[in-house]
Amino acid sequence: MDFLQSLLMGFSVAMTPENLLFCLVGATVGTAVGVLPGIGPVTTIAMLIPLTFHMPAIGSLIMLAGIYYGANHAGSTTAIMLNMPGEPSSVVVCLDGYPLAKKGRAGAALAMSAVSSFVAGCVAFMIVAALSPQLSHIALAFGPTEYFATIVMALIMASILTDDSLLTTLGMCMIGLLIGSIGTDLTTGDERYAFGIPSLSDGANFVAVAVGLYAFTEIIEYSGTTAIRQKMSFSFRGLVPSRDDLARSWKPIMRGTALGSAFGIFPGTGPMLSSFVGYSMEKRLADDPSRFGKGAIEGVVGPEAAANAAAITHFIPMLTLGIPAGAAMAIMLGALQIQGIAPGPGVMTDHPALFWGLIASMWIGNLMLLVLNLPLIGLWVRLLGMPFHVLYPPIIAFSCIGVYSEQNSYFDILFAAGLGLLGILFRILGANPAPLILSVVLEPLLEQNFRRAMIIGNGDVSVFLKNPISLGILLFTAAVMIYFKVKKKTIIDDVVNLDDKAREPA
Amino acid sequence: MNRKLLRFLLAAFAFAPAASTIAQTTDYPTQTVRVIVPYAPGGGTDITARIVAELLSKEWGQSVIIENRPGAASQIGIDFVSKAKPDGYTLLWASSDGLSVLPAVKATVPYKIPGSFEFISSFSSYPLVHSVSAKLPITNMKEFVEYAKAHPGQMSYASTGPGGGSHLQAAYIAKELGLDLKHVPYDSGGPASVAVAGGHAEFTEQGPSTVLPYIKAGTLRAIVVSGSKRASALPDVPTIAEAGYPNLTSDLYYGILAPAGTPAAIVRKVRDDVQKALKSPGMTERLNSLGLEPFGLTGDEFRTFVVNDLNRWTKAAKAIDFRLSGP
Amino acid sequence: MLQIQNIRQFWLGVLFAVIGLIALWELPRPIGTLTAMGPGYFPMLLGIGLVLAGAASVAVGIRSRAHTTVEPLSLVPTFFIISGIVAMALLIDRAGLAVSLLFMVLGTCYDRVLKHPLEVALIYVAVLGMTWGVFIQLIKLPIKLFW
Repeated sequence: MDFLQSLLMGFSVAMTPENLLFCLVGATVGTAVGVLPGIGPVTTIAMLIPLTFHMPAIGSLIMLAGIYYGANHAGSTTAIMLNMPGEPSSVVVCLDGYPLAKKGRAGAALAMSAVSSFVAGCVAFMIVAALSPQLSHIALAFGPTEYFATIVMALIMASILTDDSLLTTLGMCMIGLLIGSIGTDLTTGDERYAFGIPSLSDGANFVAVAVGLYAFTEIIEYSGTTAIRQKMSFSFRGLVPSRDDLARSWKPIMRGTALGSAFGIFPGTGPMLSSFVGYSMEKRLADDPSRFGKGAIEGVVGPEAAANAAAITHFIPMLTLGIPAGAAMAIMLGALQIQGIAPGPGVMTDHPALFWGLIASMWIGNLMLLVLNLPLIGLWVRLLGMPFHVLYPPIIAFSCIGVYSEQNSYFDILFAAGLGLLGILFRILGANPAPLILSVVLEPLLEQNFRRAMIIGNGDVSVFLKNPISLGILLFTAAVMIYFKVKKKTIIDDVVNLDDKAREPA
Repeated sequence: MNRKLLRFLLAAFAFAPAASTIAQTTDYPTQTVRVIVPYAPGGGTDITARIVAELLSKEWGQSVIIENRPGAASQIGIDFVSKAKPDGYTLLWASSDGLSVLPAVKATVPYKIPGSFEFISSFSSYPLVHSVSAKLPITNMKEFVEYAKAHPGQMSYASTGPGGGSHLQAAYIAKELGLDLKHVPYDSGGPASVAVAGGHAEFTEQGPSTVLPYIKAGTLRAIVVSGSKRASALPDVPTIAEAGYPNLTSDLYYGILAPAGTPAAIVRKVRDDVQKALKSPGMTERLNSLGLEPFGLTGDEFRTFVVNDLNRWTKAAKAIDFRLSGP
Repeated sequence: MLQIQNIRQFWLGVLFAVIGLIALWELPRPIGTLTAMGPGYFPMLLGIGLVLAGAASVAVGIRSRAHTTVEPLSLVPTFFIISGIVAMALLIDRAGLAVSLLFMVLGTCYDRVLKHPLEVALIYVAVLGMTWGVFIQLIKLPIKLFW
């Protein structure tokens, strides 16, 4: 099927009044769910599954997908406003989005993030329409060796997320990997660092880690500072992106989109990696990298565009290989199977209306999100104007119950509280937790693929260099590292310059 | 006279609880029924549970909600139900991996099979499809064994996780047939199928729903199915017994249970309505499209089946010397 | 006597080393070999790595000429807020939403509860209403309102 025909078919399916309504419902529910800290798209989608039994396959998928990207988008809203990432992909949005909000520019950051998601969605949609038949084969070529190389690349990229010294970042990454290793070992089934606690035997839960390191830490720090939290101004000038914002943003949006579209094709890992590789890339390419971490709009729009583009191109491996990127996608695959459609290589040819209709609906859904979110920005920003001591009890309550609801386990709240204490130590010592939390998410992929590669390759470590794809990825990583060192600084410089980057007073 | 009255009163008291149980069960359910699924949403156990819960809730005019309590290879959810109040308002929807594989590979589990449960009804079954990468010159079991013997220590199988049916079945095949195979664990069926389809591992044992699309696309090749009958989705593929290995037969299943001590009348009512759901129009087609077969053993039949299955997996786990640790 | 200048790097190093040592102390067994890695293989590498990174960080902290300061830990809010959260965690299964939230709000509003009791009471009622509506009514989480 050629490009135009696919596009036409997709839109003719997605534009029926019924499907437009499903799309709107999904995007709205997703936004509502994503803004409340604690309720994720997973719980919501699981609840709505029985409803979809009576809906047409395409309509139910359009709605569930709407919840998924609506919630993802709203996750960036909480990241910008409250420094609380709702999803792994919004961790990096905190890095510059929150400083922007502290400067009274939350409105501009939210608006630009909505715009960049939309633009990225449009471009990624075209790419999927044009290239999907070719792209679906690439993922099959990725075995354990190739995955391992990709994740090593991602971890090294994570080390340039922040301005911390290389030594600090390395340590933070390793702590994150250790936390990620908690739980049942996938190869032997043995427990690791679970101390007999059932909810730990399935591993550290991302929501608990994010709530502990970000939400709790943020709240403790604020109530500890004697200085009253600066009221966030909400003049309408702050709401509207300035011409300068637009001028700075369009290139990062384009680069993020290109990167995200490419990364989305990696089954399972793509969307997660793309946002922070996108951030690192923008920081590398910036004329003045020192602005990053202090409220650079490029640090918001670049990763946002990358994450959203990847979310769309990721539908190719998800539908053709049946590998979900996270729990929400796994439930959507389940919903698809209830409708009698097995994900697999035949999906695009056997069910073209479903495939293209879904993709087209994502484009329409992004447009709806834009329309839905722009008027809400005023409301969010006004909400931030409330005194913080009134805001934080509900935030803690929602966060705690949200953490609890993941496994109905009170222990997860205690775990989050423990990480809150660790987060306070990191704040005091000036170490940014972003590399840590990303490592938590990447650990199972890194370790398991390394072990699989060793099992298959009979313990030959050189397989990573013998395999052309992984060799290519590792060489690329090495090139980036060398470029990084030449362009910027060495470990020693980092340490000497440490006082330059002393955190701004809160 | 007085004595008569006394006798009558005694009799009335003696029968009162029984009478009230009958009254209760005809009313059952009078409140929301929770069905615990010991896995995260989205998998086969969850999907079948949601299909049935929806029909039951229509039948009863009461909401029947699915509660996912995943963790520790489904042990957490199963344990939760075994300790729940046996009043019929907390039920368990479980699969063979939790009921008859996990207790076989783990030194201790906090519940007893069959003692901790009332076996209400099984619902559906599926076989493990022994699928090899289509890049290999293997079309039947004999060629598989020859190929594996010719390449000792070089063939690996992708499982859906250690200690599950997918892993144990492959390891048991290796043991029984004297093959030297390597285990490459994945965390779920999708990635394991892709690994074999992409040629990164040689074969996998999985339910039809995950491997069927690859078989159709020609990247995987089905050699045998483990079920006692052929799978409706793969009518041309012989069973493992037909291929000459009857002791490797295994049927995996989903079913509904209640905590031990649940009143018999409630168990009977749930059983009748689950059976009714199973026979509802279109159910067979719906199950087949998920790679499942209807499998409606009731009560003692179901209980005996699970006990025999547990014994078989215990034997397999001993033969391959595999043990899971943990709480 | 040498004054430690880069005090942040120094203490971060101590923190890394301590976490690394805990990981090694509690190392899961068996460790295994490269071809048949046990559950402890990867954590062992990470533990050793953390101890080394910690040691290097301490060394850099002592020798560096860059001067950093550490703000003192604000013990009071940390204690009260974390206690509120811990109380909520321990009570939610046993005492239900209403009681566990009460302890959480008392803990997190520790500095205002005596000065503005009415405000804290209002916050409590509002939070309870919102969480009850969203989590119990709307998405039907298995949490009881009362014990």
